[in-house]
Amino acid sequence: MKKVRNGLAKNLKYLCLAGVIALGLMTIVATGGGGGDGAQPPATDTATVLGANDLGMHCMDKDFSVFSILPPFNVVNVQVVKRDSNGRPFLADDVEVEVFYEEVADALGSTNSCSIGKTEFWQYANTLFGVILQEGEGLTGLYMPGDDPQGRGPQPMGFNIQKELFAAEGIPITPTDDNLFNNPYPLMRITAFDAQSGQELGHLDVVVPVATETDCKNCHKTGAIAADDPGIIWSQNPDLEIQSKINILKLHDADLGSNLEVGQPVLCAQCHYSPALDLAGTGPAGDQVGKPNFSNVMHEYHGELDDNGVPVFPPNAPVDDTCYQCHPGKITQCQRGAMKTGGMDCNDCHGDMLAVGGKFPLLPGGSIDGNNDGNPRRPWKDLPRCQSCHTGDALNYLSGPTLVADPNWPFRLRQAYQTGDDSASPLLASNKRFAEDSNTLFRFSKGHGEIACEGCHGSTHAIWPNATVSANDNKAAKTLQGYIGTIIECNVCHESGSLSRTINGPHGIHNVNDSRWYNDGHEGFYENNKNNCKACHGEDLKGTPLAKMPISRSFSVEDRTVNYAKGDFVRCDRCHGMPSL
Amino acid sequence: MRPINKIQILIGVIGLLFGSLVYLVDRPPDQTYFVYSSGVKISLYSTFPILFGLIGNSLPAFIHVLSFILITAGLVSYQKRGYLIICLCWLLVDSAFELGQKFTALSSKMIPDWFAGLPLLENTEGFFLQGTFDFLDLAAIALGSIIAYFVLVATNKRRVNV
Repeated sequence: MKKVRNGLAKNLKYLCLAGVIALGLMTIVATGGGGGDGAQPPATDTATVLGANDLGMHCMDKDFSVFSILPPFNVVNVQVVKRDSNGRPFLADDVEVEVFYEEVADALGSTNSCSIGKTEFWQYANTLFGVILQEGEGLTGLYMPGDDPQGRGPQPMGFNIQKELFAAEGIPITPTDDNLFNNPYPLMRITAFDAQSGQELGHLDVVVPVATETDCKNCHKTGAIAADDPGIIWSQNPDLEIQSKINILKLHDADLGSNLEVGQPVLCAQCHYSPALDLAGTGPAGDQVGKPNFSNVMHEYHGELDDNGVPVFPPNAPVDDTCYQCHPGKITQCQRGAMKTGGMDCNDCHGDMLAVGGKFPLLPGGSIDGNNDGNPRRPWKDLPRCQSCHTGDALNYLSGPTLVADPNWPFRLRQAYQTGDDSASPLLASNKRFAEDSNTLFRFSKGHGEIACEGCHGSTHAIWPNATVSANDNKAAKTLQGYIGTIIECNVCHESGSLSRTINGPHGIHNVNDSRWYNDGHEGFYENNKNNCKACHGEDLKGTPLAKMPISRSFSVEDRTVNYAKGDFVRCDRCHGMPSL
Repeated sequence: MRPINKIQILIGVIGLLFGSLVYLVDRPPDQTYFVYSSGVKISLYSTFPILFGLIGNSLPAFIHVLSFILITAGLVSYQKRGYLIICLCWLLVDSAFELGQKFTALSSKMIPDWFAGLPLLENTEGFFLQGTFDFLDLAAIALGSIIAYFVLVATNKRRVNV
């Protein structure tokens, strides 16, 4: 009996021993994964300020005396990345830092410090928006620095707990600079201060885009296509902006039996709900109930107009003849940045006017959160996604006969929806490498330690870089990493050398410009999982736009210098022979 | 049949728990496999200030070898010669893994493909390729082995066969 017990105990012990050894090996592996045991970064206490306007453009009315579509209302979102005593980056809140915005001159000397005297908004604000504002005061109580009745200058930015970032929502900026020149892309300096010591931690100059180029007059000035009905007495006001606006009210009254002309100034959103003005997000109310929303009446109505059978806004016409007739605009060119440079126009992402107006039901997956599939799109909500075109990487991407793929790089589409889809339902990618947060627009999405996507990519409609190198849009990225374009340099937020080698950067990127990748050997990475490399460097390892050199760089590789020019694709055979594929 | 040495095993387990604090508190959750794959929010990275500072870099290497020497020895041995063999074995194992982070081409070739689909083992690649070799880690492993040997000797009790 004792022998049996001894045998069992012995076996159990050896089993335990084997378990311990296995556990020992596994715990080594389980503690890896990118953290590394590298050198600790140096102690610092500085901060990186990341910031962007939310939309890439905020339109406002040039005139408020007749009717108003949009007030002066601009938004800047900011995140402050501090580093703790061990050099680890973290997002600071209002306990740690205080953030302010103030005007700053751009390279051409244009400064925009105030709005008083540049718009008649405050004369009509009470009638239009039902609020009593001091002159210079925005709808949410914010001021331009030069208009602050307390004379504080730099204006504080509040910390939005829900969004977990600093936000100035409702800056009443106009596109008129202090020399009374038009500048739709003025710069605002965002400065972060230590909340305790008051010491400046860092600043960033960001564009606060605003324009009034809403060219109703192209069609609605007296005698033009939309103001030539001899049965209506059209306005003769010498100011074409006012004349056109009055004519629009006349047309509305004549066509729909309303009585708007006598009720000036009119807020369009009083009857036609617009999420842009529904700051509380409560939905249609009062006169808005039962009436089509503003986006619907503008896009669908205008999209269906024809002149003797010829569409006034042909679906495939250039944006100058369609979108830029109302949105800013031929001069302002609010759609700018990388997408514009890449040849995309408004229709490629949004579809035509009827699609934007919600004339057609969205396809499955077409609504941002899936809750509106099969219904007309919801304005300001069911919008194109990044992943609709950036459908994956070189190995795994959407394909199909109804997709408009880039002929050279099929993992990028040149249209965010399927050809033949009248609703222009934004596509959903299966490979989420470049996808936004689930059910979330790009402008609200975050990633890589909760950094706002716009913090590294720039604003919607103005994705970095702007092809005009000197454009104000490019200043932030250039300040942050030394060159224009998407923020990809790790040391913008991380202490240099503090990161281990990793492919866990944003979108799976490896450490950029890190000698450990080109000097310390990366063949192990390749041999172990070739697809990790091929995903961006291409199936043939000869490079793709996903592995594009952001700036000219030289690398010392095996006792020789390898030069890459900006825009070159990083490929294996620039430094050594092609490995086996 | 030799009984187990509960003291040695207990010290080893406590050491492991202590060492895991480095990963839970001092390192971002997305950089440690067992933290980000646990499925629950166990990381205290954002909750507590840095606990270990600079020594946190090499502390896991030190504690790992120390703890597993103690646990292994507590299970199977009570003789100094056995202790020495166990110390040497774990010293070699831990050092090999550390060196694997330096010679990534070699180490990654040794990882079988089927590791990729298995929980925990799937991170072997990440351990070697994304981990950073550090001489201080090697030194910590050596120190841990030496200290473990002395702890074993100090906690050794002449045991009677059951």
